[in-house]
Amino acid sequence: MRKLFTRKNMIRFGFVALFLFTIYLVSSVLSIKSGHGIDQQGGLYWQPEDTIDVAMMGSSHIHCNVNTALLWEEYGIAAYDYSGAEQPLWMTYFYLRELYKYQKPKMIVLDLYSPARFKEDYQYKWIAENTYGMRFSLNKLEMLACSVEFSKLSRYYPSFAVYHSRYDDLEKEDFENFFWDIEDKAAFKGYTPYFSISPQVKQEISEGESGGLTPKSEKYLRKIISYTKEQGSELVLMVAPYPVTVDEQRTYNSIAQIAEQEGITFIDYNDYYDEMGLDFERDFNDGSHLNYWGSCKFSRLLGEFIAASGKVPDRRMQEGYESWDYHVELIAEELLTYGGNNNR
Amino acid sequence: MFVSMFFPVFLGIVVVLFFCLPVRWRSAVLLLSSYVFCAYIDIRGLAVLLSVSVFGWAAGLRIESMQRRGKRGRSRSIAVWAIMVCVLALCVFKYSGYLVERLGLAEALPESVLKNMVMPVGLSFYLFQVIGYLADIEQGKSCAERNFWFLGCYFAFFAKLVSGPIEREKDFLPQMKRLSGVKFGDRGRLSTAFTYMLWGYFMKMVVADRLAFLVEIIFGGAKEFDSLGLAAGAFFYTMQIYCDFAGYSYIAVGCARIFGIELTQNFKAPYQAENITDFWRRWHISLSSWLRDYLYIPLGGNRKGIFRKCMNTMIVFLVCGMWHGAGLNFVVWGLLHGMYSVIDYLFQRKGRKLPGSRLLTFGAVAFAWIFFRAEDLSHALVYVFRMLTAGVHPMQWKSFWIMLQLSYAEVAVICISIFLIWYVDELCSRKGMHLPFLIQQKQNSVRYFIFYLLLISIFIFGIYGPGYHAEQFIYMQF
Repeated sequence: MRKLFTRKNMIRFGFVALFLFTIYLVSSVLSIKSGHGIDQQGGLYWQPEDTIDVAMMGSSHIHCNVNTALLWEEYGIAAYDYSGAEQPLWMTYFYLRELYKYQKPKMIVLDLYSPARFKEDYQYKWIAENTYGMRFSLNKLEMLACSVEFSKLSRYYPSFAVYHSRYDDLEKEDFENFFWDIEDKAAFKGYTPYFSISPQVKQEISEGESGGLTPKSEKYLRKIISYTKEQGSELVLMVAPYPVTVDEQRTYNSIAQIAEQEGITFIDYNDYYDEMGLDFERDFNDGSHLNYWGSCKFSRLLGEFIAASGKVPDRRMQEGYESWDYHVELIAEELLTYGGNNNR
Repeated sequence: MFVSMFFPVFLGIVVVLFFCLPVRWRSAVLLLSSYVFCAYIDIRGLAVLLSVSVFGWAAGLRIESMQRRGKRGRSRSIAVWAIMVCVLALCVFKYSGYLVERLGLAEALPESVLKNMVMPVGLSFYLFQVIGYLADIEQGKSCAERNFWFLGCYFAFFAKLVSGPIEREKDFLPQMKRLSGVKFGDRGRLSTAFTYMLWGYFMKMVVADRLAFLVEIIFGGAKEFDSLGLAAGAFFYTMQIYCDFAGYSYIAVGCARIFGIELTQNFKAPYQAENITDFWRRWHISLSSWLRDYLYIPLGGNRKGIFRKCMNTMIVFLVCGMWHGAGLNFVVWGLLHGMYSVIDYLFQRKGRKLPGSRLLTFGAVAFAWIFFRAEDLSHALVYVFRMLTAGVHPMQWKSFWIMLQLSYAEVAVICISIFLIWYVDELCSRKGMHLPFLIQQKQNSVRYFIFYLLLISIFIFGIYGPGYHAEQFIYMQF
């Protein structure tokens, strides 16, 4: 033992520690920050352990449409938008496994836009957004193995190899990513509202046929169902409101059948425009996402359902949930800053 | 290969096998891992390497056998024949593709034939080793090696396979026979090995690969730049090729040291040279000494008068140029250096020393590199002509900055890293020792601080990852 703690070895250990700490600092600064999935994925690690009661998962239809500040303020629901742009179901499955390392949510709400809209077995357009926020682990490697063809793996892993040369593009927020910034980081709950208005055409789809769910998507949907059952969480499959196409509706019909087989709740919120008071002239940011005001209406209806289920407690005024109060303040600030003349 | 993700994994596995398996298997471990390394790069290259190795091994034994029987004439003709076969193989692989392209035959030949004309990895280097080995046996300077494991390793050792150094059998083989005595726990050896590799990766990844982007833009668009821009391009390439090749060499030396093998130092601060003769004693030392021993001296060296010496010098540099590549630009590069050497010799004969000789030597070398880098002779001549006649136009400098996609951070990294290279070379030149040994003399805290700085620099400023493709080691194409 005395041989281990010689002066020479202490110097060695010291420099190893210094090197690792430098890499941590540098990595924190240089890592890519993006509200399309990286921030949502990375934000999970800043959340107080075992505080998330409802994890909202899926594509950007979650982190744009599900207003976690409203869910907290009006229902006391401790929700987190743990999603990524165009996230395929196989990535959602590994996201779920990552989530359960740190949280024990009572409910998982899974949006189904991605499997309805995208049919390829390997989808690369937003894969970076769905990967770079995750910590290194065997789970991450398995996710990459499933999501990326082997010949393209080096483009996405290791993450440091991707962002190490970002020193030319640094912004103020890059220096707010250290462990001493935990209060601000914990107040981010994944929700990234849009504030533009783009009128959309209200679709009246009545499509009874089903089909279009790819084998890979179906396989991972069933794995998600099975995994949430094992973990004892309630799974709710849903479709956030947006202008649906006939092909997409067919896929939703297929998923509804699977949900029925498995005894899982399935809600298509495209059937509830009137109930939520959705205005197609003013509540959309673009052809796929709600804006802030649309997200409030949708989230209110979603929150009503979650609160009424009796499975998720009201956490307002409880110790350990202060980050959600701070989150509400930050979203209010954002509304003031970016809501502009559109504010209602 | 050294900057690929494959290499650290490969090296780690070889180190574990080397030190964990019985010592009598060590040469086999190195040989087989070298073949795996070669196969990973190019499976066809492995077939060529194996063929050349077996050929060299068999020819060496045959030459020695003839000598033992007193058949000197026979042994000489076998040696000559074997060497001619090696030279022919080198010429075919090096020049066939070039000739096919120049004669416009590419479309007439099938794809499979064209594919086989691509030169196998490391061929130029290990063929020279075979030639040197056979010549040494024929001249009685060394004995033929019966053990194929040892000789195969001499030709194929992965650390030096891709771009040398061109080892001599008398230096390398005895080390193979002492592998059983190499201990893993020799900290001094591992520390210097680590330092060599770290410095090599710094030169390659931080400096050479970074400058490669700029050089590609400048040489690819010579008509867009003024004289200053083109001179800068020549300077960048001068630094790029040095850091690329020397960086590779240091990594190779470091790798080999892990296994207790000392490879030839290929570089000794070449840009600190006082004259061109001195430059060639510092640059690609293994090649220049090989050409001296196996070409220059057999031609007569400087023993046949001034005119023959000058002729021999020109021939050696002509061959040197042709060895580097198929193209008239390489021939011109070689002849330029030949001319420099002749002029330097004549000056030194008169006892004269040129003022600013170090700067002049650097300038002459940098000028010649233009021909080395250019796509072909006509591009090189256009580059040189524009560099000398375009003039300096400060109004265009902002557009150069944009074209080169430079930022203040990048400029800072380039300036600091080039300064560091110069400073280390100057220091090593004055102390007469390489960086790892200089660092070994320092206190532990200083040594580890240097390691820490180099590692952090490589991690942050190294050119790797998606969006970058690790620049092929320049000398690998030879």
